[in-house]
Amino acid sequence: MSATACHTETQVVKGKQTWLLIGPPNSGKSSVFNKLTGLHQKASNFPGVTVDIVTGQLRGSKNVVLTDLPGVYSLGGTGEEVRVIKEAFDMFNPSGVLFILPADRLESGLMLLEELRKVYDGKIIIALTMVDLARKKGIHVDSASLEKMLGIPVIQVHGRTGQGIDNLQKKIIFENLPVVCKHCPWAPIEIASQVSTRHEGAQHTKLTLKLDDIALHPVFGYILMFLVLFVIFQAVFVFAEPLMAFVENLVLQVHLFVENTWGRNLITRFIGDGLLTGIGSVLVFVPQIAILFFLITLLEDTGYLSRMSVLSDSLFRKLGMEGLSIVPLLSGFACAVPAIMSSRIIKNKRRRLITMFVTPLTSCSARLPVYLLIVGILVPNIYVGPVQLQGLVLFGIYMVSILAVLISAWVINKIVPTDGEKAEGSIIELPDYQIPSLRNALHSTWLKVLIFLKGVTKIIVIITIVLWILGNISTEQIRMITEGKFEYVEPENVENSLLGWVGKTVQPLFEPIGYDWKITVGILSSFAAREVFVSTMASLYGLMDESAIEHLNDFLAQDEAITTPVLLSLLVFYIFAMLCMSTLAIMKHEAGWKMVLWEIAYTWTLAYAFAFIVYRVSNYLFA
Amino acid sequence: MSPDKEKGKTLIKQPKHRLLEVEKVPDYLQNQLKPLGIYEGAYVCILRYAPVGDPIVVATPTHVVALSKDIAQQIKVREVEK
Repeated sequence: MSATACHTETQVVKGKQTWLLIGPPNSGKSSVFNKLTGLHQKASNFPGVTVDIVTGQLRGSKNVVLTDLPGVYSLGGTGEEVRVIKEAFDMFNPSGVLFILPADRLESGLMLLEELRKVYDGKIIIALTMVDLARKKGIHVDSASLEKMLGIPVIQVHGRTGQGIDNLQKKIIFENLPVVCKHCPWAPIEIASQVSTRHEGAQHTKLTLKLDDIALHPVFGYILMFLVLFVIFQAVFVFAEPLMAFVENLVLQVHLFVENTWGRNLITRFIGDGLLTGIGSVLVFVPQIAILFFLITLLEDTGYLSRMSVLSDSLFRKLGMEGLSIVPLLSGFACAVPAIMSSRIIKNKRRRLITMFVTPLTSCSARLPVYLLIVGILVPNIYVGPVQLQGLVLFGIYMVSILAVLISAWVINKIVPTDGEKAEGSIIELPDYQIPSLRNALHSTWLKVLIFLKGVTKIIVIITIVLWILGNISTEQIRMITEGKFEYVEPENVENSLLGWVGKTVQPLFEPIGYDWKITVGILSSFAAREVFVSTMASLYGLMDESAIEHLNDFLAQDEAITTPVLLSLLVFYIFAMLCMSTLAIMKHEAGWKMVLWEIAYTWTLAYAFAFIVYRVSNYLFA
Repeated sequence: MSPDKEKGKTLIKQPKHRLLEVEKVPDYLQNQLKPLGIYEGAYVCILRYAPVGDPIVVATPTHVVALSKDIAQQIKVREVEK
């Protein structure tokens, strides 16, 4: 185990004992952890990976800290989870390991324990979970015999009811436990067969088999999956809206309070329009992230997420992704920020990165105002038979976006090396269906929200402040400062600001795709959020109040520089280009700067190339 | 000849609900498959095929696992006489 002493907050706290929780996936590990620690938890990412590490103080003891590590089947692989577990031993120097052993999968659990024993010779306590589920499957485990044969304390616990948790807690705090015998011969499969009795063919409960007849049915399976995905999409898209409006209003009220108390001057404008807007830009995503992760956790806990993966795996694997990629890709149509974060459910790094990479190509809701503006000018509001023409064009735009996702994933899969993977296949465990724990789902959601806030706040606030400075400092102001005058002069409009100056300076780059300096400024301002393009354009055309923005398409239509080819080119540019600081921030947090730079390079090249073709061809056609 | 071409020798195209004994698992897959109950000498059976025939849902003595075709075609099995 290599000692990468990365300094994160997950590191051992001085003077405290750390116990690591290790066990297979779907073994009830997090439920036991939650019962043992209550709400005293901290979530953070392990350095360089998107695997969550949660630490919590053991109830009833101020000296013991528990660390919940990712579930694994084996310590022999090379996956991120295995790396995290191995490095956790070096990082935490643990006082002991709490091993979660699911009674319904005793053999595989004992195989993992056997691997653990070869690399760790400290104290181990076994928490025997899933006993009731094992009973339903006709499996009975004699925990006393198991304890005797292994020479390790075994305590039966129930993660949801909390049964046995007190015993476990006392064992960790008070008992002077022996260290495990590293060299004693063990045979996990034999031990499992000696301490348990089982009926043949009892891998699944009858209920699971019946439910799988529907969930994996060639027709009903897909109908059910699309219903579930529809609910998720609706929840992220619609249910989050009032909460997002509440957050926006809250930020506005604080903004107004600041201005009413201290007046409108440069400092209060900076606090209100710069700093508070930045913080608001982060907080506004919290409802979407919370709702998405709450639903994903429920689906994961019920066991249905694995079935979704089975149904869609074949298609997505051909494109270098996997079945679960459908969740982030669909969520991307609401907003790329929670969508990119939700790609954490994909355990395979390569597939997760490909999914993450193509997610910003899905047409998020923030693009809609721009699409509506352009389509409103280009396409007449008429019906062709029963079909509204503008709606039809909008549908076409979304289809182009879906095609862009699929083709991009396919191309990237062909180009990016497989990193030594011998097969691109999937191994998906189908656990029994279970009733999810609401408490667990809320816990998990809360931790994800914290990870998001900690990960992206800094970068989003910094970008917002930079954009504020560009938009609120005039070129005249710079001239005055160079002459030694420090009096603040508010820019009359965007044209006089530094943003306007930058737009005019870089406009020649956009000339080949038909954009004048105004559209260039609009595009640059879109980094705050794509829909800001509309309000910036309105400002550039002198439309300052909100009702006037509705008439923006009339102004654009009358502008001789805004021709049909220009609008088509702009539409194409917005379909492909990544123009959102929040997406950039979450991608940096989940995959690093290198990925962000590749993303910008790829989407902008795509956007520029297609905008160029569309502009030139349409210029020829409409000439 | 690739394993999938050897008819009846891998997990591909096996009849459902028939007891199969695992004869060979590629070395690089053993770490992942053994904990799920797929190892040399273990008994498995195919429960169902996913709608497009891929992945293949396999029951082992302890787990139910969906294996994609390219994984399944590397696992050699033999049908157990009843």
